[in-house]
Formats: sequence, C-alpha cells, structure tokens
Amino acid sequence: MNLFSQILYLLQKEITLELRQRYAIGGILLYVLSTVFIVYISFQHIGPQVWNVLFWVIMLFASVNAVMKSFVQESGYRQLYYFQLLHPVSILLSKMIYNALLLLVLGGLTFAALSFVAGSPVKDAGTFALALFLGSLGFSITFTFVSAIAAKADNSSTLMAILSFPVVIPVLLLLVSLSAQSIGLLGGDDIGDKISLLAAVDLILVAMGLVLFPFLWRD
Amino acid sequence: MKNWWKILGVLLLLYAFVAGLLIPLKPGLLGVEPTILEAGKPVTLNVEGYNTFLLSQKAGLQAWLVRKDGKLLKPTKLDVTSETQLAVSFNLPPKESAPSVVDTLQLVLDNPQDGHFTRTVFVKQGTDSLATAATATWANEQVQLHESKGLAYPFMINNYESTRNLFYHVPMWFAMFIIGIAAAIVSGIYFYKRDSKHDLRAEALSKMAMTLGLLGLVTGAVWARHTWGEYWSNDPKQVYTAIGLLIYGGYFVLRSSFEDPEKRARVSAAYNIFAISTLFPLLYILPKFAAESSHPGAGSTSTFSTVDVDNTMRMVFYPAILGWTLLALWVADLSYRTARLRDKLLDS
Repeated sequence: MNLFSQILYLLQKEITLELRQRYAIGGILLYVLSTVFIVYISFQHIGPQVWNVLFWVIMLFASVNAVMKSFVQESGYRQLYYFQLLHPVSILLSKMIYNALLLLVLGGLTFAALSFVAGSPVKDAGTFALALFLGSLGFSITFTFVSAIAAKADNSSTLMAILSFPVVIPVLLLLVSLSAQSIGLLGGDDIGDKISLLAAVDLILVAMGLVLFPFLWRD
Repeated sequence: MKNWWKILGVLLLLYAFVAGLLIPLKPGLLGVEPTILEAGKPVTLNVEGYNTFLLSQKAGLQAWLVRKDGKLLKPTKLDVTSETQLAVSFNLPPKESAPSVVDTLQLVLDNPQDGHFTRTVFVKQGTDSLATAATATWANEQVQLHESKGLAYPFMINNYESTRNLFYHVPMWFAMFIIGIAAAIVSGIYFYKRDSKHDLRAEALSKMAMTLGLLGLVTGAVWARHTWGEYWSNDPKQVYTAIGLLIYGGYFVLRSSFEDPEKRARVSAAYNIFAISTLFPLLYILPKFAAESSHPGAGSTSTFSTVDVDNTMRMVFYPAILGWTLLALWVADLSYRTARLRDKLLDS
C-alpha cells in the first residue's frame, strides 16, 4: 500500500469511528454552542472588535478539546497494530487532515452560532473564509502533533493546553489580524502578505511534525 | 587548556562590567528653560548640563542657536555659573516663516575638550511684535564644531545613565536565544545517538535559557519602567521572551510527567524542537503588528547601528553577548554534570 492509499484508508476509518461514536462530536458541538451562549448572555452587545477576538478564542478552546482525543483515544494495542502495518507519516497526515476537516465544520458552526445571537460583522466573506480555512489547518497541525506528545504522558489534558498554547501563538496572531481585516477593523493592503505568511507558518509546522513524528511515536 | 572558554567568559563579563560601568557618558544638556521662545525678543536661556565641565573649560566655550538651514545666531551674553549651569542670552530676530509655524532650533554648545552637544528649543510668534530687536539677524557663517575627545558613551535624552543596560539586559536576551537554539540542536542529536547524555544536556541548556529569559525580562522591565514609563508595553521582544518562557515552562512540566527516562527524553526532545521552531516565524510576524515599537530595529524606531549605539558601545556590547553566553554554557555544564552524577548514584 502506498502512502496515499494508506492516508485514504485511515481517513475513512477516522470518519467511520466518529460517526459510530457520536458522543464525541456531539459533545464538541454542544461545547461550542454553550460557550457562544454564555459569551452572549454575559456581553449582551458585542461590538466588531470583541466579536473578532471572541470568535477566535472560542475556536481556540473548542479546537484544543476537539483535537485532544485524536491520539489519546488510541489504545496501546491499536498503536502496535498500526506500527506493523503503516508508515508513521501517513498516520500523522491522516489525523491532521481529518482534524482540519473537523475544525472547519466547528469553525463554520461557531460562526453561525455567534452570528445568530450577536450578528455578523464580516464584510469581506472571502477573506474570512480563507482565514477560517488556513486557521483550521494551522490549529489542526499544531494540536494534532501536540496531542501525539501529550498522549504519551498520563495527565494529557492539562499538558495539551500548556504545551499547545505557546506554539499556536504565531498562527493565532495572524488569524486575528486577518479576520480583523475582513471585518474592516484594520486597514492596509497586506492581506496577501498575511495569507502567504500564514500558509508558510502552516507549512513549517507540518514539516516539523512530519520530521519529528517517526522518532516520537514508537514505544 | 581545557577550560579556556570558561576563563574567557568570565574575563569578558568582567570587562563588560568594568568598562560598562566606569566609562562615563558624553556631556549633554539635561534641560533648557524656557524651551518655547518668542520671536523678535531678547531671551535668556538657563541651561543645565550633565557631565559637563563648563567652568573649567570656560575659555573655549561657545554657544549658538542654529536653524534648520544651517544659519546661526550668536549670543549676546554667556554667563557660566557652575560646572553644569549656564545662562546664555540671545536677541531673537523676527520670524521669517508664517506666523502659525513653530520653528525648531538647536541650541549648540561647543568647546575644544568635550566637543559639541545640543538641545532642541522651539520658536513661536511673539505676542508683541513691536518689541522687535532690529539689530539681530541670522548669520550665514561656518563654525568649526569639535568632537568629544576620550572614551565616552553617547548621551541620550531619556536614557541617560540607563544606556548602560545595553551591556547587561540585551545580551541576556541574545544569550537566551543562542542557548535555546543550542538546546534544540542537542535534542535533535539525541534522536540520532539515543544517549541519555544528550537528553540531560538539553535539559540543562533549557534551564539556562529559561533563567536568562527571566533575568532579561526582569532587567528589561525595570529599565522600561524608568524610560518608557511602563513595566510591560507589549513590545515584540517582550512577547518573544514571554512565549519563550511559556515554552520552557511547558517543557519542564512535560518532563516531570514521565517516569521512564527513555520515554521522557524522546518526547521532550520532540516538543523542544517543535516549539522552538515556531519562534522563528514569530520573528517575522510580530514586528509587523507592532508599528510602534520602542525596541530598536522594529516599527518606526531606528536600528541599533544608525544612531543609538556608537563604536564605544559596540566595543563592550559584543563581548558582553559572548560573555553571557559562555557563562550560561558553563552553568549548564555544571548542572548537566550534577544530573549525570545523580543518575549514576540512583543506578548503583
């Protein structure tokens, strides 16, 4: 089996598993909805600037929770089974792709929920969608790799947060400013600059992850 | 000589402390009263100097008011009261620019020994234009300005003596970066050698990087309180240091959550490399957002080499970076050796 078909099989497996145990995805969706609602009833009126920051903070915490399980849920025996069958790169890549898709859905839902209760200040929908796409990708890459690290320890849920937050700051900074531009809070014509910078950061992170993962995963 | 680098580090730091603290600042002007002058009137400026020897060098002392186009005005009276105090009188000519414009003038003092030093004053339209002193005009004259003789650091408004922090705070930040990269490289070597030595070494280096980061943050914050007015001003370089500290905090928590040394080594090495590699994109990203940074080299602030730092400072600054780095390596080496001994004791 080559790398590509391995990734496809693993992706299929992830999606089948997710649909079979609906509590995980249902839990995350409920998490997003209740956070949005709590934020809304505490703020009442949400201005564009606050909206922008709130959106990404909710996304950040929901993503950490959603991605955390990706390596933690795998039992040791199943890891051993993968180890004999598959290339480590295809395991990591399939998880990253799957999580990116999951976060994209999550981001869309957060956007819909926040817009439903507080209105949507987004003016340039294309830029915002692009920010959401690149953001899901960046979050997914970072958190999937950190989850692989945290899964090795016993207290993985605490570790997940303290290990991933410093690492995700570059992505988060770019996202907040990119979506601020799409809302019209920030002038300037460097949108293309920021998008390519964000893509470059995503690329660096995925490259580092792919290089380091083979050393990391086998016990 | 196996330990030459330790001796070198200590010597460089001693040099940085001695030269950094003993070399005086160049003379400069702390203040001029009044700073806003009225055109077309006689005025007496009370000048307060710093590190100046006005009384002892009264003979060669000269003063001018200099306009932007280089034309200058000679004083009518120059009255030195002490080494650091002086009263200088001018007959200001009437304004040539539009009445609403505020002109900027430089008050220049010059003497052969200490060189020239300046301070900015402003000229606005006088309230009473009848009191014009008809005799005064701007002269188109070339004067020979002297440069300061002897070893001295530049005099900078606002920084004053705290300029010397460049030799202690800034090198700590540089050293943190160098040691952090070294720790990541050692972590990488661990993957190929699979020897616990490299893991312990990476841990020792990371401890030092964190220590240097903390010291740099504290010294920087104290300095910033005095010059920028705030302990924390959200400056890119403060943010890097804070993120660096968070990364090392996570690294140590991660390490402490493993019992098995081999697993701990492997997992923490992977995290160390992954986390450090995110600091580099940040180097390009953060300054983009901080249009106004007070640190040199970012936003609208001029870089190190252009105005702030002259060769006298560089003479101490670069050795100080090397000195702090070598000292940190030495401490890291000691902490690595204690860790090795502890492991051996526990094994036996």
